[in-house]
Amino acid sequence: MLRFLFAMIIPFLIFVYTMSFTRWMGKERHLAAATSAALLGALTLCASGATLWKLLT
Amino acid sequence: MLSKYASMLKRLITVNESVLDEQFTLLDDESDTSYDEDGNKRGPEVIDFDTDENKTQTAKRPVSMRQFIRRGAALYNEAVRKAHVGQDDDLPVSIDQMKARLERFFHLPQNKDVVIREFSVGVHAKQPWRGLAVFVDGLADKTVINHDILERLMLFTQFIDDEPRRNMEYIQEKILTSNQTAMLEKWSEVIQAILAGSTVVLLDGCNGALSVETKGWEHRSVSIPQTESVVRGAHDAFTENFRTNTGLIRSRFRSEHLVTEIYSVGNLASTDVAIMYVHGMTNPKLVREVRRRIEAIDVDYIDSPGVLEQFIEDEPRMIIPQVLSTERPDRVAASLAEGYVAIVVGNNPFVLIAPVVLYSLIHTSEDANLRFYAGTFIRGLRWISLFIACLLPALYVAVTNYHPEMLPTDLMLAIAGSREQVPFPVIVEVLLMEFAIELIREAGIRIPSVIGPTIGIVGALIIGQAAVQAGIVSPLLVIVVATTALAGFAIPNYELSMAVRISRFVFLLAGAFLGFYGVAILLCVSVVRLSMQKSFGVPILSPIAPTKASAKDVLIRGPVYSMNLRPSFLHPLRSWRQQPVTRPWSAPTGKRAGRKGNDQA
Amino acid sequence: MKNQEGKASVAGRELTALMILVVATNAFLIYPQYVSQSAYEAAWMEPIVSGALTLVLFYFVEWLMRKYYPQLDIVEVSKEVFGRVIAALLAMLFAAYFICTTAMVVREFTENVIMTVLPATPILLVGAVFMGAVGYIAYAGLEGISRTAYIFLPILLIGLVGVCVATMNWWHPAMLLPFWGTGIPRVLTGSLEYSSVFSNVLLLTIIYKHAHNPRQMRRIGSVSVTVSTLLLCLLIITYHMVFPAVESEQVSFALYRLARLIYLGPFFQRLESVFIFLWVTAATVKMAVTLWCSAYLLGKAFGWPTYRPGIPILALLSWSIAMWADSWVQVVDLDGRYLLRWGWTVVFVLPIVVLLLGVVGRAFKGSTGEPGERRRRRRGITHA
Repeated sequence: MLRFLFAMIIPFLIFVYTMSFTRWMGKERHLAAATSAALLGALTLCASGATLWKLLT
Repeated sequence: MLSKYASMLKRLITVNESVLDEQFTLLDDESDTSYDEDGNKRGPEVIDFDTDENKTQTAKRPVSMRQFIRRGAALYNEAVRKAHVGQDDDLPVSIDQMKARLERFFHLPQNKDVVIREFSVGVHAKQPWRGLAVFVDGLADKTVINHDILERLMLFTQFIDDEPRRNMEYIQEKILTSNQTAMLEKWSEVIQAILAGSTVVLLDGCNGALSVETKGWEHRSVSIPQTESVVRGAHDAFTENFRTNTGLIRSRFRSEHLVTEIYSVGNLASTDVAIMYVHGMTNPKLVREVRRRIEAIDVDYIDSPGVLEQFIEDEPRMIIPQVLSTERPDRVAASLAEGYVAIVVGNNPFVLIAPVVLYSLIHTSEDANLRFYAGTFIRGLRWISLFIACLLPALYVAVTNYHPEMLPTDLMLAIAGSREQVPFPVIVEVLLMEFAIELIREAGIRIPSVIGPTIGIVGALIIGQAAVQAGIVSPLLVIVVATTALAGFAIPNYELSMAVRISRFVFLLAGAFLGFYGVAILLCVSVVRLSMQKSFGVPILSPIAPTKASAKDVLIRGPVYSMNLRPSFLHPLRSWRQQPVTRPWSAPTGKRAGRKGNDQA
Repeated sequence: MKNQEGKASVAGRELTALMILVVATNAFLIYPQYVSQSAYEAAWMEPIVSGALTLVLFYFVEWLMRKYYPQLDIVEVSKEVFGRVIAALLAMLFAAYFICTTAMVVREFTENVIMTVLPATPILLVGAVFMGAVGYIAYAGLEGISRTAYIFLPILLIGLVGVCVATMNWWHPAMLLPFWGTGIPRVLTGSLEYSSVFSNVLLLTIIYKHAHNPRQMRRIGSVSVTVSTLLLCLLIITYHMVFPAVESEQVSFALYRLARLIYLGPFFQRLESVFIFLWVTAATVKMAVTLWCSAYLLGKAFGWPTYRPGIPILALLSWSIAMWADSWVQVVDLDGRYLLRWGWTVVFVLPIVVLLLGVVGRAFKGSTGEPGERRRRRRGITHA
């Protein structure tokens, strides 16, 4: 579990980065772009979480 | 004797004011306000951002970055303005006012460097015509001042006419036999002239100053290059004199199209910066870019090309230099002829060449002087040494740790045998040795030359014999590290060899953690990084990536008679540097020449 | 930075190198195993047939692009043909293909690395290092990738040819007989099935507008397809001359097996570790291309102002997919059954169908084909 949490740091950081990308695009009125990037980010966070969970616990 | 002990005892047991710790501490100075003063009057009231009130406020409330920058810029501009208050004014007419101003500007009488020599023109004048000669002691040539200024004005001049301005012009035209004179109108020009070593002559009743060129400070004469020696080629190097350096370049590159633009950089103390290029051949866009970057420098003081470099480089955080620094006039001249721009900075024996591509950091000026077989050979040697210096320790660690099977069995046994007594893991061993080598290298530079030979003995003993005998390192590793160090010294450019020195450790770590895999990945990443890097808009790996047509002067050195084109990545205005057929009388080489010019080397 | 992807323009040689590298990297992957399975001794013919097919299609698509869509890429074309929604779906499909390819390649190479040189290192770490490097390279953009490809191409060429030549002592040309292997029909179907390794056509539709000089495209295509066909063919021939075809269908890492054999006297033996440099550099460039393509397509489809910030998350996604499979066998099976087998639909059919429909649609509408209007519309879409 601890290893899983530790390993999730990097995916989480990437997720945060993507969210700030999303926010920036939202600010520039690229709504479709922002939504798609947010969805992609969430999807990827789940996927990486699942993979790491499977491998590390 | 007894009394001495008694006094010591007494000092031990008495308590007086010496127990108060009253050492000097450097703090802000509020008592001396003289720096606020300008020429004649006090400067306008300035907002003091350093008051306690402001300080506590900034401590409590964080400011936004933009605000912080704006505040910093305001402070800096204010400081610069304050340092130059009154210098934009025109010269006054009265000699006393002039003297008072000068004393303010140069902080006389505390400042003993600036000499204000008062004299009067003519021996038998009805009324004395007073004048001042101002110069900096140590910068100006006293013989010239004595003989060509003071002697002429004081002894051999007689004016009947009373119009001072016309007399001043007469002096400039007829009396002072100096090779460079100029009439100055503003205080800022006067001050710059004095600081540059000229002597400024001021005369009563005349609101113009006569600057007479008297530069004559001591400097090293032109001598052999310290860091870029060659066997075959010129043996002169730049020296610590701006004008000598530009002269050395011009003496080699005798073209009326060679232009030297001089800028002065630095708000507190100015430094001359010269941009040299060939008009009508060097890409004007490149020249404009260099000019733009140099003009944008807004700092108090820059003294050397190494510092200026960091202000004008494309990416100063990059480990590879993006300008070429050289101390060889012939190299600068050759680069100018190819379409590069040279930047001479102040009194410094290094001249910058911009832009730079990675390949020219491996070249030396000797390559072109040798026959092309030899030139290619030594150039290839340097390429290999670049890779060795970067990768060899990493590969050694990777092989011994992860891939021992690729070594021949005998060699592997030999390594294992030599490592039998060594208690550390390979990486520790390598790091120890690399550290020792780096120490020797650094100490070798810093050590006073009197005890210089010691370093060789000590180093050789530690690195060579003792470490092996003590069983700290294996003998094979000594060879690896020594080869690496030698290869590092074979890289001609000092900045590049520094970069290699540092990246060697990164590769070492990659090799220690992930073997060849780590090294390969790191290599990939660094190649990508390099391929994206530009130097003054020129990709640093061109002409190979991106591919550009170029003469065979990149990885190898082609025959000079067939290198017809200038480097196309510079986009020079004249792309051909010689006739397509340069040896028309020669059957075998004459025909080949034209075709070869376009080849990719 | 904002318009970096719009401005990127790449010279012909670099694009050639890029395409060669992308295709020839399949030599290190499971492609040899699958063609061996389908054609046995005649496996070396399959890359030739696929290559010829690719070349024809490449010329056709290049002609279409040049004639009808000189400044557009596949997403922009499909936007023009089907409208935004379907274009986005198509782009997502392409991007998904590229992400899955990246994932497969990263997993296969990670397994290779672990199998050959770093048996004790955790797979997560090796994969993460790979993906980090690939992400960094893809972030540098098409220019950086293709320049890197150009620099590393000689290594790949020397290495591949070196492996083939250095095993000369083990060559048994008789092992290439019977000449037609499993028979002509199976060779032909195998060539079609596994032709997706030649992703040139799809790449062309994406990269076309980034070419420094689109006129060179024809040459770029023919050189890259020919060279990579030759490389693949050479490797498979050598492989089959050294190992019997029946045996070779079971081994998934042909090049490594060959490299292990090299023995040129006691000082040049067991050189497989040296080939790590080869695999890693080629694989990184290939994955960087696929990752870049997926980011670029997604960015185009959804109107991202720049694709770059999408690279890290896509790299993470590929990595997660790559690490999901339980074992090497499963990966090979998945790759063979889906990606390699059906990849040709995405790589060849889909782009051609889209382009053709576009041409047909334009012929019907007629007036919409005005260049000025088209450009205006495109601009409106890219900044939407």
